[in-house]
Amino acid sequence: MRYDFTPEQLAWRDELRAFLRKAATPALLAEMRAAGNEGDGPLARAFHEKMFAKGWWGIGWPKEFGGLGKSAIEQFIFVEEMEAAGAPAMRLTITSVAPTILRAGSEEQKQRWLPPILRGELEFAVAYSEAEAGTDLASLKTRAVLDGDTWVINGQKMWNTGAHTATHNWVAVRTEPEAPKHKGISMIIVPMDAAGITVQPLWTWSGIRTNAVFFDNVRVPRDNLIGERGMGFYYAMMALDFERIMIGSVGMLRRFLRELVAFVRRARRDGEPLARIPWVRRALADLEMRVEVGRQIGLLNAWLIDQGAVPTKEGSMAKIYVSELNAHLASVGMEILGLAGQLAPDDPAAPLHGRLQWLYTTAPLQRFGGGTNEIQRIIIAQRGLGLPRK
Amino acid sequence: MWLAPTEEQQAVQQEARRFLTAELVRERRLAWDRTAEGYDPEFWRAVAGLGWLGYGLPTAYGGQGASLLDLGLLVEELGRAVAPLGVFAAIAGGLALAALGSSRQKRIWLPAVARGDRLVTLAVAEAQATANPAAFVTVVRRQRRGLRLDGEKRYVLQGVTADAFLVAARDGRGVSALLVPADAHGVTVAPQRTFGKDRQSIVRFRNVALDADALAGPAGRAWPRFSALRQRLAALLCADMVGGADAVLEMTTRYVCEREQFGVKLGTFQAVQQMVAVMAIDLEGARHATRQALWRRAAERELAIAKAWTGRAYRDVTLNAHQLHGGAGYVVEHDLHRYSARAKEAELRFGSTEEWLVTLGDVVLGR
Repeated sequence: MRYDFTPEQLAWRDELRAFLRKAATPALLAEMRAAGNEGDGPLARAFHEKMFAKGWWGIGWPKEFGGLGKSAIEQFIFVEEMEAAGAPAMRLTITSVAPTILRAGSEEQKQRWLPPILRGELEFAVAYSEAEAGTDLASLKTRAVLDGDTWVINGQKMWNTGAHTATHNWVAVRTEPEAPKHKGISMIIVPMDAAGITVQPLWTWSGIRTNAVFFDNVRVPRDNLIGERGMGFYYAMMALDFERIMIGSVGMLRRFLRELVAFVRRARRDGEPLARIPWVRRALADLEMRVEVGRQIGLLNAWLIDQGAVPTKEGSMAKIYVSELNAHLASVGMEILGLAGQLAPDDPAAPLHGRLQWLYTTAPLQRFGGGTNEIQRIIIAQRGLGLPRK
Repeated sequence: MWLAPTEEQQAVQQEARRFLTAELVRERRLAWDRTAEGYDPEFWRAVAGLGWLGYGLPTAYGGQGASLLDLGLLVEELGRAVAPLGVFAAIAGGLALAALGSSRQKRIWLPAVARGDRLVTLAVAEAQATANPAAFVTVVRRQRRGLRLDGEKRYVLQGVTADAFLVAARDGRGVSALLVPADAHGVTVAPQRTFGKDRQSIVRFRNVALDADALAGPAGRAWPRFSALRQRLAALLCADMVGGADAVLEMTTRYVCEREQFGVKLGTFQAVQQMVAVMAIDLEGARHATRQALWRRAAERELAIAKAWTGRAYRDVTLNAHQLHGGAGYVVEHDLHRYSARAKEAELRFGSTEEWLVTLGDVVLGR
């Protein structure tokens, strides 16, 4: 047993840090804050290009597809350092779409889609949910019907974040209406410039834009269906498993906590240094503990992946734990900031650039998104601990 | 990074688990509840025969020199079985003497401790002080060529059956460590009744005359070593809690998979599944926070995190287990209450959850 990184892993971490010290500039961070942390401005794009050039967006992919073939622990280190620096997040194209093509796609599909993704030429939005298919994803109704060598798609998708800027959409559609609901779904790649697509903005509490997207007789080539017909639901679940290395990272929370501690060290309230107020000290200690425990659970998840396991239980644990810690740290942190905790990022007096109130408004998404935490706990109970379904 | 026990570590754990499962049968436990030691001589000889009591002691003194992590993995198994606390007390007393004792004391006592022939136990806590030596009422004074000890220690593990006490006593300069034989004139021991029904005692020292060589290490300078020792023992106690919480989660999942109400298994109810999942997350956090603290030899930050988290987690796991077991786990014939009391007692010992959070606050913000 060993609770330390190997010298090689530490060297990888130091390489990342050295790069990020230069690349994650204050100007880039300011641009991202202004964009609600979406990272779509010119500086963020330039950053993404640098990452593509280094091959770092494909760190976990096999080398034959231009990736670096790094282990899950090395990916964990990567995500942690990126978050700790406040750099733009990896996009779903990298974390969900590409790994699924890699696992499920035909050789031809891999050769067609992966190299341009790794060169940064393609950007995907992910279209799973519908108005009547959220947590119960398998009940989705958007249909694709084969007409010769063309799929014809009709229906409506919700929460299709990034659809207004993406080049392609990764769409879950029903292709086998006669099959049981979990077995009738397929994944189809739809270019966003195809005729018949309408994108309507949905603005969320956190300020992030998402979309409702309508498909009206949208036609795409037959080979845009990735992998096997009827396997789409399982591919979507697989993609969520890939995301969990990222979800289980507390890199961002460690940064916010560090900044919160720095604030407490210099601030006073009612004539007393904040750092001398017992409840503030207690609250920060509690956060320090919770963040460290979250890091352990995330590391465990990544480590198990490297051992060849499919850590369903631990992945769900990491998702629940970190999403709930996001909400908790934001709330307690704002309490420590006092009345200033409510100041928005564009108020010049906002401590921590208003990041905690931003986290407070984005945390609910982490809890109900990607499979609600209640569903995750059921997964832990049933698949992890063997509790009965019926 | 390697986050699971190695094959050798697993072998030690499995051997311990097999042994404890075979030994700790219900009738025997009920009989032990009525003894002074909390176990019987056969059990003690068997434990000693396995080498557990010297596992973490230096090889020069008859021990096996196991690392704190290796020792912790063994202690996980003691906790999993809620083994009599006497085993933990003996391991802790041995480590205490190894950390604080003079070479003469170690030469005389440690091999016997490792063999299970002698029991040394730690006597630090008092009625109104556990971690601030300035508040200790136990005082050692120089007297002619020797020493004189007065005062009172409490919550002394296995005090009733110990052969010697390793005592923290205030002197004019600071804190001294003294090895005091239980049969020294002026030493009296009285049992304390705890809800965990383990063997804790009040040990009183009234005008106890000691030779100068009762001093363990230089006079007046023992406190830093007591503090460091306390952190290592706290890490080991965390390991005991992790093993216990694991066992409680296991018995609880088994129960809700078997018990039926309304014509279905309890485990089919989502409310039950949610609770069990929360217990599992608490446990997994405790396991790795604790093992990390053991790996870091009980460094202050990691130990504070482990003790604060694990103390709270084990307590909550046992209380949720009571809720899910209902009456079946509430009767004394069921072992759950042994775990529940052990959990709360462990949360209080070697610094409570809230006390370690204060220390962690000091780590984060400076003292």
